[in-house]
Amino acid sequence: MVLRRERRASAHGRDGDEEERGKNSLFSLPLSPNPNNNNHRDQVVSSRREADELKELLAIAREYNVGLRCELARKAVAADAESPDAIKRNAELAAYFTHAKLQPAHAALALRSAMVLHYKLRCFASAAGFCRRLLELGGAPQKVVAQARQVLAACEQQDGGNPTNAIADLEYDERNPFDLCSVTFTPVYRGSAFAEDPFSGARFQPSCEGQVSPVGGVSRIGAAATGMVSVGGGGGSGGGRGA
Amino acid sequence: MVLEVDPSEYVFKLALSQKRFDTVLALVRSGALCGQAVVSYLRAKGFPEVALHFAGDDARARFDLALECGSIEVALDAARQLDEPATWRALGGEALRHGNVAVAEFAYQRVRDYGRLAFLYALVGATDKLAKTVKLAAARGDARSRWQFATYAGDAAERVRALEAAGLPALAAAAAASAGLEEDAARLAEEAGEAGARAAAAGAAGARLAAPEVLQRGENWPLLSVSKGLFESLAAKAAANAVGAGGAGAAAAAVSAAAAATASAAASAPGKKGAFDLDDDAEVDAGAWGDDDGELDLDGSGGGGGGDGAFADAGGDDENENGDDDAGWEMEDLELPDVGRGGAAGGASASASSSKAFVAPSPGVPVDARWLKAASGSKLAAEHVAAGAPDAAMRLLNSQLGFVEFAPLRPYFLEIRAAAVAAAPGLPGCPAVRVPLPAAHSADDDASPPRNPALPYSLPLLEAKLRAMYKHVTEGKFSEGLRSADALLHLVPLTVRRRRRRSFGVSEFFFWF
Repeated sequence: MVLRRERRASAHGRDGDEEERGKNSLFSLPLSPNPNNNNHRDQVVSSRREADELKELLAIAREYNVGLRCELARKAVAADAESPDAIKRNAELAAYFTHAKLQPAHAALALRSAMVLHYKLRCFASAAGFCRRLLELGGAPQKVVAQARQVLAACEQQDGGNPTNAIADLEYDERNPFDLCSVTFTPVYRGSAFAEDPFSGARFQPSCEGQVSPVGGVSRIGAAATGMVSVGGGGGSGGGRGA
Repeated sequence: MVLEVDPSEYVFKLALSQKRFDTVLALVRSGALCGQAVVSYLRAKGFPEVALHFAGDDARARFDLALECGSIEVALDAARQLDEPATWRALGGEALRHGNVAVAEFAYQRVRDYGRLAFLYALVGATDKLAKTVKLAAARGDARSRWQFATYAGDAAERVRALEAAGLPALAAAAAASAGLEEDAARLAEEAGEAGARAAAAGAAGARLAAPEVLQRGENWPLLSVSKGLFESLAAKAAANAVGAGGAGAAAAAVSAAAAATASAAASAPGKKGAFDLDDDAEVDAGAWGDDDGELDLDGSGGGGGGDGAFADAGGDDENENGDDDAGWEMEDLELPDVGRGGAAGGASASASSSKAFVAPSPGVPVDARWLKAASGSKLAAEHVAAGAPDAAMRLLNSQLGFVEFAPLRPYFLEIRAAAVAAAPGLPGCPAVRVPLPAAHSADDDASPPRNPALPYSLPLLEAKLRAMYKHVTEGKFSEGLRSADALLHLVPLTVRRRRRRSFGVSEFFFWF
């Protein structure tokens, strides 16, 4: 798909001129007969597939929104204080950031920064976890892979082969899957109660229900909604309801 | 025993509601219906022009109805019978709205509404008449009007004189200085002393007050000869038949209405020609128009000639014409409307020419409305925005996605609307020409042209935004990356994928969550 191809291109960093083209297309559109003509010609793109792409784009945007705000929150905390609470919070937020579904290159950066931070804070168990995930991820630069191997080996030698965390009450368990509530920046574990943003699908703590979702800042958390309509055509038959 | 029921009223109303105007006409001619009830019924149902035929001799009702259905000529005729200031004013306003400068001028002259008259002259660029209104105002000693009319006329010297005559030498000095009349300025400044000198200095520094530009110089607006509606042409035709067959008194109503139009159209011509002498307006009413009345009488008795005003009297005579013996008289009567109407500029089409008359095409559905209709079927927020209904779009986004905050979407809404409608600037003072831009469409996909507006957001554009976001994150610019992510979040619900017909039969709509 187009999206995937371009994402690969982006990882290799040759995207400057394409961004320009994207910008221009907006303003030239009213004058051009059909901006999508290339697509028309060489492939029959089903609208269903394209709508899926929109959904995919929305999901990517949601993950980056939540992840980036988590990281920005962490930076605010890290700059803030030396108190034990701040240090713990710093470590937690760094760990949460690694769980945002980012592009592999970005995920590697997040894992690496969390790995370094947790190792420095003598949280060897979680640091070892980041190392393993970084190595599993693949595609990371050789230097980073080598560093992760070293850190992993160092972690596994700690505490007599059974690494532990120096911060005992760290609220993070890499094996327990969760969604990050981006209002409170706490994990919403699978199976526990949650409130959902009907627009982006982001999940929040139940206490956040009724607030305006920070993901996009447009929708209300927990509002009833029928679902996004993004396919139209020359026709105009009636609508329907999503599940 | 047989109970006789007169069905004419309900037959009449039924025929009217079914627009069977021949039946309506037959009932009108039968004379079975009369009175205020029918007139007010017709008026309420939106048939003032039909009602006009029932309001034969009641000048006030005729006037009101004629104004309502836009027959300025009939209204003028009725107004001359009533001859009241309020009537003339109403007529003048309505005539101006129709662009009938001559009638408006005449009406304002009758009530001596100099302010409106001068404005009218300024509007149509009648500079010589405007100059006369200025002189007249001076003669009346009406300083305010004099100054105002002089401003309309762009006559700076007269403005200065007006201010001077009103005992305002300082203002006059300022006016003279700004108009470049240095001699006057110096003289007046001296006269007004220190204040005058200062005023003159201020006036010299100020901008010159230019007379307004005349956009359309001329007289009555040109009119298309529109077929006046079935009823009227039927009436004329039927009248022709009836009279040809030997004359039916009932035809008189229809004929007199048509005749009145002719009479007034002709009568308005001499008034416009400038018989209105502004220097001596006492003579105006008595003189020029008095003469005209005289002509009418002459024509009436003469039974032909110019034939202008004859019908005002002819209508009265109709009662006496029931007999067949005046056939020759009536034949003349009949032909006159054709001749008169042919002569009257922009007059209504007569029965003979009705087949050739220009029929204005009925206006189509505005594009915005068509877009809205298509969009309300597809329930796409972006199409509602493009069709100029952001409120409906917001309601849709609220029910579909739980949106409650729309401020972040504002720029995108504006962009969508701007992309759907192009605008070309019009003439000065005229609104811009709006050009709706429909969605791009390819002949392969759609048999019919698109019924949807063009939308600016497409998948390639979103992908460009996505790449920008990735770039920012890769570079560690998290705040900018977050902004790009938000932009994506805002653009996705406003992006529409066009359905390809036939290539994908099922699941035309995509829903999730």
